[in-house]
Amino acid sequence: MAEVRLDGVVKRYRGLAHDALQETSVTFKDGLFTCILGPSGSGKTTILKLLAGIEEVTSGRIQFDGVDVTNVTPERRDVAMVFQSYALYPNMTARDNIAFPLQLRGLPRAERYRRVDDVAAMLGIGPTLDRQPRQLSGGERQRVALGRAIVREPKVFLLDEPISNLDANLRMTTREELKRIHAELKATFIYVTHDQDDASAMGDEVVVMAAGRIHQADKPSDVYHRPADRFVASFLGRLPMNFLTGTVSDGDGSMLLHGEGGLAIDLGPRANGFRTPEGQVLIGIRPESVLATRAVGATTGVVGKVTLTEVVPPDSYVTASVDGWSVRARVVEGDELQPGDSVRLRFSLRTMHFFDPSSEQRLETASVEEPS
Amino acid sequence: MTESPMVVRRGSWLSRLPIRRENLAYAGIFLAPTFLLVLALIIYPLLFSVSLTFTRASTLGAERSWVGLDNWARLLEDPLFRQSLVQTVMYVVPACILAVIIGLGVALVLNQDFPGRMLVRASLLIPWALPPVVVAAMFQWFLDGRRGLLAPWLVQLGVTDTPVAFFTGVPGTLYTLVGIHVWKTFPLIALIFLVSLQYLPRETIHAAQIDGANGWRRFRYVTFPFLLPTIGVALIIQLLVTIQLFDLIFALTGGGPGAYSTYNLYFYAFKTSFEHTNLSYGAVLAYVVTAIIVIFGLLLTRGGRSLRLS
Amino acid sequence: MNTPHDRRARLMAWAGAALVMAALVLEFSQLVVDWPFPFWAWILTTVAGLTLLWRGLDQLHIGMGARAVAAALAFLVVLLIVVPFVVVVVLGSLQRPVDLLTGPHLIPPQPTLDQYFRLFNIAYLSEGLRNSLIVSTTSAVLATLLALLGGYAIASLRFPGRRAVYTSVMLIYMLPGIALLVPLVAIFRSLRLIDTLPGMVLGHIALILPLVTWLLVSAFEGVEPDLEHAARIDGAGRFDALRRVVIPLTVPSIATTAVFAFVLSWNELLFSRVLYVSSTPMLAPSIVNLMDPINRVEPQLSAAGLIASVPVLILALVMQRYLIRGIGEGAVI
Repeated sequence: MAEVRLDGVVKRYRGLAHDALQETSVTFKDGLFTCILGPSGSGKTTILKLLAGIEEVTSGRIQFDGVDVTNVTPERRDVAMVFQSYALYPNMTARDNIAFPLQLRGLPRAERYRRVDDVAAMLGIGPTLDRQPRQLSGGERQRVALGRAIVREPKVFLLDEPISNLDANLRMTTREELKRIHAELKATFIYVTHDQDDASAMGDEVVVMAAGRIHQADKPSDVYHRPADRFVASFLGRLPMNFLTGTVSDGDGSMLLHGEGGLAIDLGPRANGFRTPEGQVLIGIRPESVLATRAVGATTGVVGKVTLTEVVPPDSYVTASVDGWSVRARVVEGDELQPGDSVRLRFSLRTMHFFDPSSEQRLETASVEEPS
Repeated sequence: MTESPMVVRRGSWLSRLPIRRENLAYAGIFLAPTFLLVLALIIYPLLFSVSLTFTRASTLGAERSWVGLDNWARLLEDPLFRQSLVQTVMYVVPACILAVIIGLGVALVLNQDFPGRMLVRASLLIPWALPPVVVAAMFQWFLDGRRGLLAPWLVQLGVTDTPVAFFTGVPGTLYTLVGIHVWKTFPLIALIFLVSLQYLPRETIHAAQIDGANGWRRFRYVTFPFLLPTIGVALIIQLLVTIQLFDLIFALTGGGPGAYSTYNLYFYAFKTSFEHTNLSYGAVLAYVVTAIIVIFGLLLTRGGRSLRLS
Repeated sequence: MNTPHDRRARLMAWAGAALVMAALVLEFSQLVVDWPFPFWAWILTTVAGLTLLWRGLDQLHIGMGARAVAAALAFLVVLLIVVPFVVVVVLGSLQRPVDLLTGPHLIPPQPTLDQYFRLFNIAYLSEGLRNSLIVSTTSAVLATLLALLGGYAIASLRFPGRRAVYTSVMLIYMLPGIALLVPLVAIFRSLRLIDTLPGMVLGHIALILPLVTWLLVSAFEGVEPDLEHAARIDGAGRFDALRRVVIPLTVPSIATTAVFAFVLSWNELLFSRVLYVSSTPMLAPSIVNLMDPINRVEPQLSAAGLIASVPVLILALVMQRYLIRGIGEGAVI
């Protein structure tokens, strides 16, 4: 078992106004590949450092398999870490880098190098073993760093944005490899990243963080389709989510959103089982879920005026101003729109997320979103 | 504490301590020897000499009577103190100005790429590395009235009409010492400027060239403003070094010619303590020097920090 | 390129170079032949010549003019530095005292290595050399060791008061030796350390330790912190991490610092003079002794000076790249 748990952990740095990590409790389940996802400064790397022991908690407890390790020095914790900068020892060859943890353990040289060769074969870096880090490419260095972690057969792997410095293609192949390695080693992986593609590709579970606080911890699909608050909703997804504030009313089978100036836009037909939220709401809807068509010849949807067009393959998108709101929408296939054109925007209740405007927490409206 | 497979035995006994205590333990062990030495050889002597300033003591171990601020008051009436102070300024001002001008010039020269540049840069280390006493001995002969080579050379080259008396004039001798001191210290200043120049972005110079600025204009509007903070730092460094000028005075003139014409405050403090055996007054003088140095030194660290950031 | 523009530029450059050369010859021939060539004339001609050279070359190739003039000026700088040393110390040491009576000579009429052999008969010089070697090496090594541990602690360990310790290292390093000297002498006297080699070593260490510590703090601060973290996570205790990872990375800085420490100690005069009574002569005060008119024999003084310079010059030569970097980064004095 290799369950890692934080209990009420706070991390405060001297001289800084905000806590790097606000009181946080989270469990990283045994054997899972958990992604901690968040923008920079969210505290995700702080969690890794606290788990590794290279930073000290300000308060709270850390437990490995129920054992309190809050004050245990890093060398005595059975975790391995892959740094964003790889942190390879510059004065040693790749082979010696990977062998280092074994050397510290007192393993004889033959045994050490045998294990290094095994790991190198697994990662495909055999030929690079005799070179020094500065002679290796970014991708090779990253694998050496991985190898150094794997060779110890630890129960917990901590990974700090290990692929963010690689180019796009390499990133994709490395993601697959990491998933493969995880399946083979069956260890607990805790992977920190700001890239949501990492989380969706590799994560069994995703922990979304911002400003030192965990916003949601769930399966990747749940984090995307049922975001717990406005931040999670806006962070996930390729394009920025549209947010509209107002009150919702039932207008003869169509839901209407009433805004500041008394204007109302049609949100589409009522769905079964939908509970109209009371008072002011914050509605989030992804651009992919709002359809835009030429106003000419269309009868349904809200009328707006195009202010911006962009292409995000495979679709085109327009930003339209609708009665004071600015909405980004996906252009229906075949239509072509220019700035200044009139458009009709069609919303669908099923793809909307409702939030409380002040707390920004998710409101349950019993609506079921179809995966898009 | 029961040890699960996730907490392992590794490292020395210090690793078994909780994190904070482990930090403290190592800090204590590593800093202890330095701390003890500094306490015994620096802090304690400093405090002791403070107490000295309030007593009357001629030799160590002799009767020491408390005299309050008498020794400090003496500063205000001591003509030699005033003279040493004035002469210290006479050392510092020309030394700083000359070293900075020459150092800047040398740095600008060395900033150009020409064959043999590295050799020239290496030769800058020679005056820095040479022991001051060797420099003193060297110039003692070089500038000697009868046996030195420089005086006749200057006459032959048409620089002077009669041989210069480097070591016998008042205040000429002091300026000779300034010259020797600048010879020894300008390479350091040049290197400081050279390092600073390396941080001047090439693109800014190129932009100025494209804008049509010729060499002088580029210097005046781009390079020079960039170097202003470094000039400040260099001036203070040279000031600190010159205030503590001792070796050249001790070796070459012993304070003369005449009675005190090449004294500076540092040398006066030395003489008072060790040859006039007035230890308390010597301590007072030493503290005056220390105060001046600390003030400018603090200025330097303030300035140096902003320099490093820029 | 043979356009009229280029030809004119080349002409300018040649004219300039010729002017400079001619002026040089005219001026410096006065050292051999006695004829009046005014100094200001030389200055003017040289400046004019250099300007022509600069302009001419610049029109051929942007920047070349500046480089050529810089090379010429650099040559002057080297002369300024090297001439006094080579002429007085090196060549001077080869002269016979008797030749001094016939006036100053540039080239020794009858060069001899006599003075070097005689040096070893002067007790306080040969002892001074030996003592200085012992003291400077020992202080440099010990100070560097202490500063290594202390510097690492200040740079990488977290402990309360760390900021205060860092600033006080800087403050202490600024203190002039004279402020410590009298009480230090009192302490040493009571501990019977005056005029002993261990006492001399302690005194030198007191002088150089703050600077050496500060230098090593800088060196350790330059190490990427993740490397040490990685070592600890891999299972190295702090001392192991220091030994196997951090120190191998900072060896050049440590070596440079040790050299700084040695040079500082070797060149030191005040403490070496005061802490000595009769049994521990040091090199620097011994040379001052030789400068006394009673003892002074110039060629002998030069020979002693050369011997005193050799260790530091060799060290400076060997470590020049690192020293220059260190000096430029503010490790002054």
